[in-house]
Amino acid sequence: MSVEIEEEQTAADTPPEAAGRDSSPAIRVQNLHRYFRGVHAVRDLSFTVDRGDVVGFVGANGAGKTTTMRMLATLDYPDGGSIEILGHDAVTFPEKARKAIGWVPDDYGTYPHMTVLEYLDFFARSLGYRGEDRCERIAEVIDFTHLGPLLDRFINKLSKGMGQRLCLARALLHDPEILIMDEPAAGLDPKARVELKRLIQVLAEDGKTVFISSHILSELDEMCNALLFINQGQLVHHGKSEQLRHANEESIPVRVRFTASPEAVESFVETLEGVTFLDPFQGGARLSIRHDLAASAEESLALALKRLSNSDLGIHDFHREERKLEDAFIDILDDLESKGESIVS
Amino acid sequence: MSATPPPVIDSPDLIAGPPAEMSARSIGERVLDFPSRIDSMTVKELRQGLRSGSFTALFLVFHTAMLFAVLMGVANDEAKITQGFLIFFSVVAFFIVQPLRALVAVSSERKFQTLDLIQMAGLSTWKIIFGKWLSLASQSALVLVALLPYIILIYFIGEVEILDQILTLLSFFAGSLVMTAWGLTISTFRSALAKVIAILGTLALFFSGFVGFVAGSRLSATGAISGDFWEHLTVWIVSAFLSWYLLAFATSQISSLSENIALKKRLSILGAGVLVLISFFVIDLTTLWINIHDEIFYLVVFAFIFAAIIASVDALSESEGIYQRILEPFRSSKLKAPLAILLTRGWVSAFFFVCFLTVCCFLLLCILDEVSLGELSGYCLAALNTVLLPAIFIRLICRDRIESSAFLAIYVLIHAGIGITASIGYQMLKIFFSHSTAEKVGVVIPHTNLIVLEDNDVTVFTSLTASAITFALLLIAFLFTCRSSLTKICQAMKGPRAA
Repeated sequence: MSVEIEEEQTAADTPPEAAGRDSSPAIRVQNLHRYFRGVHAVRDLSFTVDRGDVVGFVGANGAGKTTTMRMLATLDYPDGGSIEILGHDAVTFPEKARKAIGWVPDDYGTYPHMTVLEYLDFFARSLGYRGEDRCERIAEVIDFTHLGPLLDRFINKLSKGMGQRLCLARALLHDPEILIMDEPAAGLDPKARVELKRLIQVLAEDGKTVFISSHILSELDEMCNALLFINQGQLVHHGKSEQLRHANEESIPVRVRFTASPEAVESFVETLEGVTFLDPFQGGARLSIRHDLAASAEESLALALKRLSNSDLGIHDFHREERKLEDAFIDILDDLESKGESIVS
Repeated sequence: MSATPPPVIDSPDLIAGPPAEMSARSIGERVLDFPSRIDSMTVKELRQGLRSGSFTALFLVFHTAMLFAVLMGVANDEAKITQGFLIFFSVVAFFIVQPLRALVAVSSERKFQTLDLIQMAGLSTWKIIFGKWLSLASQSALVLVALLPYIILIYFIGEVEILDQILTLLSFFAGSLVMTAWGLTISTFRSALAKVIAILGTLALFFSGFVGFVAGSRLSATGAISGDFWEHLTVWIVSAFLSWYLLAFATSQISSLSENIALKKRLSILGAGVLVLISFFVIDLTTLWINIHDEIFYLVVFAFIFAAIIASVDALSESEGIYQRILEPFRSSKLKAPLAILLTRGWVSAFFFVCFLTVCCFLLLCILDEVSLGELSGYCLAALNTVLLPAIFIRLICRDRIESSAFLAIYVLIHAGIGITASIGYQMLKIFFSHSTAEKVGVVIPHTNLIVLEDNDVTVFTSLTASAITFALLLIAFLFTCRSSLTKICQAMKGPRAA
């Protein structure tokens, strides 16, 4: 454990009125480091999350996502660097940061011999709610998460989906400004997943800052207005999902249906400049059109379509594939690999 | 939260249930079993604990066994049978069942990741630990109350001193509170190795006579402790202090790095030392009208030294964290740096604290036992070196190779390793060579230096010289391991005051 001393006066050390916390971002991470028995789990991580943003946190298994999220939630301590939550130094004053954070871990944690209502009552008491205030707060989160019918059920008997709703209800008890959610949809069935997504969307519309990690990139794409990609504890990309989708984009994937055999298509495509055969599917194939074939992407597509339609392949369907976030993520990882950096998975 | 609830999805669970809209009143009606002023952790633990099978089983088995015992006693017109059952059952309940339940209290929270959630809810680490202990203590109190009617029945069956019985049970209850606090402390250890060592150590102490000294050897034929009220009162006071200290110890195991966990523990142990000293003089003056045995003092001093040893081991294995927040309270003091390097968490201050505490303990023994300081100085320095050696070893050799949570276990293992090896080596040297050779080698290692002093064959001067050289070497090693941290503390104390 390294010895860390705060030598500079941070925003958290100054009085609230002087610090101007209202203008400070929801989360500010600077030069974060974390070691585990010699393993550098988080390396010089720096990023900022603005208030009201819904940010997806993406990375392969072992990339350092959960370690980073636990540090943001003040449950683990960095070996170097700083974390500010709404302007509060989360390392030195974790209790101030905790008031602003709702933490939703991947496993919601069960107690034997305790009902849903008693669980919420316990956390509401712990948060300092007394008397009628406590009951009102519990009633509000129960209504929001639709836990009404489950109040008398023992929590260790809940399904994963119900448990995750309970976990969200607990995290919302103190009406936090920031929600940190570590793989909340992991292990949920599709229905529970859709429901959780809707709840998160409602919270985002309400102005809450949501920092969420998930392996299902398509889900993050729908919910998040920014994405952070992390690999080996290092930030490899931070930006809007649209920017990310077009990052490292050198070619446009297209789906083409034709009457000729895939082998004939593959041999024909080899003769075309700027067009690559990706993979076949029933009645067609995926091709890749190089971006710089013409002046713009659209003109490159038009040129490729013209060349293909002039052939004897019997093209009857041609459409551009929306580049998926998964593709962007894979491209980023490939790019890193080509630069000689190892990839964790 | 002003967000409108999202539309309900057609989940069978939700369709089958009552209307989603919950009123605060209906919630209130269902969670008013405990008033708001009771600590949330105690409420949670009581709700769970009273529902758990172990407590119910304990109660059922107890009443069944006691009814059987009472019937046996009445049939034979003999109170001893019933009383034997009562003592046996109270020992099992207070010293085995309740501490065993405490043993999983925090570790289960950690296992199911609920400890994180509780800490995130803003509950202080002290409230978490104290709430759990209070809940178990309340359940022990329920057992105690349940025992009282049987004592009255025993009184009617045979000639039994009812007051002695009640005082004995109260002392058992006090002992149970200490054991429960210790169980809770063990459950906070992250390292499995530390847990195993602590449990084995407890069992060794339990069976080698610690409890026997307190209770067993003084147990009369009637099952009561043959002590007067003052002895029982001493047991209760000592138990209260040990429980409080152990709870502070447990708290420090789950607290955040930016909390000065050392302050409460270190001040309490120093305060206890002062109280022991004051009580010695006060009781010495009042012996004319209160007849207090020497054993009371031995119990108090033994408990204090026991707590001081735990405090030293704990301090030397504390994880480090030097934050402005920890140092800030010391800036306002005139003593500043000296207080900061004695009472802040971590290895740097632990070294100085342990030196200070050891000297205080031996000064206390000098006063209480009326032994000269010169006689005890050899023991003092050898004991200090014994305590410091494993800690220095950890920081020099394996600091970066092990997690700080395992320091405690590694410390104890190194202690045991050096102690056992050196003691066997010393005895072998005595057998195969000569006493003087064994002593010459023995004084070099702090652990055996204590044995050499006990053998009394070596001059105090030789032992003192060896101890002084060893201490000087340890001090150099200490300064080598923590020069940067020490500099940082001193700089921070001189630096500008943080807001």
